[in-house]
Amino acid sequence: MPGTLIDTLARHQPDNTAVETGERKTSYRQLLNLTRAIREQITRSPIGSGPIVVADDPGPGACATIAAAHALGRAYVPLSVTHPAARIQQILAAAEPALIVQSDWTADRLADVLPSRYPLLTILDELGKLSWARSPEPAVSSTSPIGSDIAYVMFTSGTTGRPKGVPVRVDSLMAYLGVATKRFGVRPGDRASHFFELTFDLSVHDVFVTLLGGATLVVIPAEQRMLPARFLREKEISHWFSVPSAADSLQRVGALRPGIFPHLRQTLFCGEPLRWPAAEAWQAAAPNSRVINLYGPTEATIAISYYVVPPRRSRSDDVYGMVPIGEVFEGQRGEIFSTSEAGEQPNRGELRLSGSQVISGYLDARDGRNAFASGPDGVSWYRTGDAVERDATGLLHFVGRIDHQLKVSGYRVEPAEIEDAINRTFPGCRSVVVLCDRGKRRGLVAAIVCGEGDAPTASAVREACASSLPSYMIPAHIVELATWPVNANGKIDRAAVRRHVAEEIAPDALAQQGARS
Amino acid sequence: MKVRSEPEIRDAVLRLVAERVDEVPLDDSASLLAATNLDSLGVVELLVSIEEEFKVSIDFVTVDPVSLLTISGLTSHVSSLVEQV
Repeated sequence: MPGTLIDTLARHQPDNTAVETGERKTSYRQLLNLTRAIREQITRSPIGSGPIVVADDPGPGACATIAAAHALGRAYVPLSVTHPAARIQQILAAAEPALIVQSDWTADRLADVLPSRYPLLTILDELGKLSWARSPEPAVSSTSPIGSDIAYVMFTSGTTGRPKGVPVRVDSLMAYLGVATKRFGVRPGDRASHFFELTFDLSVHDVFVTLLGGATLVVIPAEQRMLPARFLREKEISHWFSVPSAADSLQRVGALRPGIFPHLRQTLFCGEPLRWPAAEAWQAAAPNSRVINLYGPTEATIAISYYVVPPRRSRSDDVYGMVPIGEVFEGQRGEIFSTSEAGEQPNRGELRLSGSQVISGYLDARDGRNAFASGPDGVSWYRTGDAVERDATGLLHFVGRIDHQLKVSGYRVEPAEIEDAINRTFPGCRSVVVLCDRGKRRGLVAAIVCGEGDAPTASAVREACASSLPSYMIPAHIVELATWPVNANGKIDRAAVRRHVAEEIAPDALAQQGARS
Repeated sequence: MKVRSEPEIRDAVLRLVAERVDEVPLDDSASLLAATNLDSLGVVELLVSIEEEFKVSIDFVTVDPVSLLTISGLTSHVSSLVEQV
């Protein structure tokens, strides 16, 4: 079982680099001192109970704040300063933090965003120096619903039109880290990527697994994530962890030439389906690397199943061109539940998860109404909404979603949340958001039907989204339709909408299809 | 093939960008990710189309992707590749 992060920091070689951000290197000694300084400020000040908000970009300040929160038995809640003010305020209102920690990099961007009722601590650029931007007032009683049993809370896209808080328990994190440090761990001298933004739960792996192992966490600049080949080589990354899109994009532009990543020894992919061609091209580009496909919803703590990509793919490994999500971690349980009685194979259905890595419930109980199911043995199962298939060797394969949830660069996107933002701003219109994976209209597309009057312009629709949604949820294209294609039940046929906006079928054919149903 | 001048290359880059975005940014040095509706996958598709249009091959292993995120950066990079032909 891994120890507390702060205790482990103290055991590593003090002069080794813990975090590298651009040209700046932060040693384990400096990181430990900063962590202790933050912890001391918190214990010495009249701060109520409740979580600590990390309002910082990935880097030594964020790592130290997370380690300090962990040492104090407090949850941390990451905020992205690139998110709109309305979303940040929604998250703060839901979390009711005891304290917000920012850096002087993010302070300017947050100045007009953060409500004044929370104490605000700034980590100054000269590391180790802290300054109260807003001092804590004594005798503030805590109203946070987040207890000391929680390690962190991630906010993901929700179907109710507001972000959904996912509180992950300390024991869940410890269970994950027990498996991850054993199977995918790092050692002093290793150089591990820090690809994920802090609001993406896979960043918890980056920070904890790397720093527990005494390796160097190398932060990738945001603009390099799209095509990271140069970063990987220049920084001599030995342990890479990203969404599969990074491999897809590099393969698309022909950059995954054999042998270009000789330093890589381990590659982890998670967050969205990994395609076989991308996995094989990556393996050829990184001949010295193990390539591992991880799977897991935020509700099951970072990842809960894994599959080591073999040197040669067998026919049973290849279901719909996707790499298997493999087998569930030891100590955790995954069962397939048939989603319909008629003609359903018992080895195909919705994946449900149970075990110490699975959350007990959402921050707002209303979000959990349909998310958990009770088994015959009284065990609570988390319904992933992912349709999976179990092959003859027992490996799990991801097949698709049983609902409308989408993935954009690994981020979970509920179309309902975007549709709600559009429909609220333009009450005369109805919208349906779909994802197109090919053609010129790539990405999220909002199809709109307006009852009367002119349809809003594309930029007006995007502005409406940008005021409450993070950038990855803003539709890239807006398409106005005359009517909705409907299915036999009279419901909007999302697949037909997607085919239409992807220009796979002509508008005439769509109208006929709509009239027939 | 006729070698294109830098203004001609810029026009062709603008045309390829315009095919993919609602509004072409007025500032050639604005990041396409920040100033347009393109996301990272959209930028990757744009880069592939630029390679096809100019029959050049951008070396994504050595080129800093940040330099390919603006109209001015794309124009100067394509110009340097076209000259080598």
